[in-house]
Amino acid sequence: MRFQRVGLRYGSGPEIFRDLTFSLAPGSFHFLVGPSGAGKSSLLKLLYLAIRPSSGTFSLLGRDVADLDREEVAMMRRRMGVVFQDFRLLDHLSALDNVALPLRVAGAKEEQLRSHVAELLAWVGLADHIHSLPATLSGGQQQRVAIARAVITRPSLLLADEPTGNVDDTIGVRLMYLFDELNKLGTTVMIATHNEGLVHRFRHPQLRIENKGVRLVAPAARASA
Amino acid sequence: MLFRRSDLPLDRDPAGGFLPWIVGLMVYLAALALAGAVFADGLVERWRSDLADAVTVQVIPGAEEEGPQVQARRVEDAVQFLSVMPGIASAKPVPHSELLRLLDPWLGSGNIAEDLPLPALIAVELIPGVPVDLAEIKSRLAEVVPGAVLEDHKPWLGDLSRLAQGIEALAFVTVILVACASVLTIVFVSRSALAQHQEVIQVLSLIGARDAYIAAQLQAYSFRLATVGALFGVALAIATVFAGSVLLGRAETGLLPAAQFLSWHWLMLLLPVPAAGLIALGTTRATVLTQLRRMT
Repeated sequence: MRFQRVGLRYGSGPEIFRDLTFSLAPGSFHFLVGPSGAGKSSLLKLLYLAIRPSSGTFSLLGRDVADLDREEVAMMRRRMGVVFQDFRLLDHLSALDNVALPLRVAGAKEEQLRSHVAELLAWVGLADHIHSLPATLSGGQQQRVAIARAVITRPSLLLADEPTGNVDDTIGVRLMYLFDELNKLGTTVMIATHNEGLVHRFRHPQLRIENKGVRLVAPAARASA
Repeated sequence: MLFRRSDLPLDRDPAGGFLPWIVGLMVYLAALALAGAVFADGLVERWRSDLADAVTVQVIPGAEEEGPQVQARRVEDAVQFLSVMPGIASAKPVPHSELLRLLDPWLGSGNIAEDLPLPALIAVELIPGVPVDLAEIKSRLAEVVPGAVLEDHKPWLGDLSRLAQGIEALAFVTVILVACASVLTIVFVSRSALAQHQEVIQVLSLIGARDAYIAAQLQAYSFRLATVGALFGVALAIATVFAGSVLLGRAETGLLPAAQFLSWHWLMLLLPVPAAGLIALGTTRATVLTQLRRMT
């Protein structure tokens, strides 16, 4: 992904980014940090193509996003997994159906999909809740469903907004290992968090948002040394 | 086309609940209009085939002192004249007894005095498909045989045809209006479903659903609702037509040729069912695709 002098503002509201210029190599792993309200979610929205830059160019997976039509946006989103801060699970679908959704949307065959999805749900510790509706799950369980949904397609790009916010540390660490595992398989990962503990424990470079721009910071452990 | 399961919880839509009722009512009206058109058309067709290739010649009796022999000769003259005209298959005098029978309903049987001067009738059959200038024959006949009047059924058959055409046009307009009203209703229902499920649709879109995938879900939903509604509407319309034709059959007199509903007419009444389904499907698809483009 590549940002070149990207500016962003909502309508005529205040400017959120100005002259954002940076690029991330495929297969990298970054934490996205910064004070709340600084624009972590906005940057993620730019990345998952929910909003377009007001100025400048932003290319993703080798394409300038300004050139993408609706069909191409859909195709590009199939190559990403997103964990939303508020999960955005579909309340009327079971955990299994929620996780299966990205595969179904992409036209996967029903018979291939079931065991695959069940396996992943077991891996995130929800083997007993495959047929539960989201409303009957705890916040942490819902979050794991959301994460399973984001990674089920083995995306090229994984974006997560506070993915460990609602789970205790053991599960948080386990989820981080899942992200690490995906990263080793070639997925570019970006995780927005303000959990300093995680940032320090997993030594990945940080993208720090400040002054309407971002600054690349070397892995936490080394930075503090 | 029909999804086994849906990603959208559409069954809980309040607006969708009305759709089958509205479509049912619309289809009922459309089917009745169609039935009216088919009925009128069939009636005229029957009359036409019974009467179009036949004309009647009346030979009016002359003054009383002429006597029946004069009239008989005139009838013979007229028959001879008509038989050689091009386009005429046959010309036969209607027997006196038949004439009396025709008068029965008006005068009662056996009440006709022997010496009552009756016009003689000649039944003329035309060769089907051969154009005949009846006006020309009529005027020449009047010259050759005094008192012979040719009566053509065509003018009043023409009036009936125009009436039937009017009914057909009315039915056509009704069907168009009903279709328009259905389209508007379905646009409204589709939009309200989109608004109701905006969040779910956003999630689908964010995980890579194409517009066509989202449209397919709503499409299947409105197709199902419209088809159910249309089936009820058509069932009701068929019941109405059936009841109507039973009543009409009872009231029917010998004067009018019967216009019965043939089997394919009944099939035509079923047409609104697939039509409603397809209109719902297409309208919802178009609405959803347009709205989605507007939403993001």
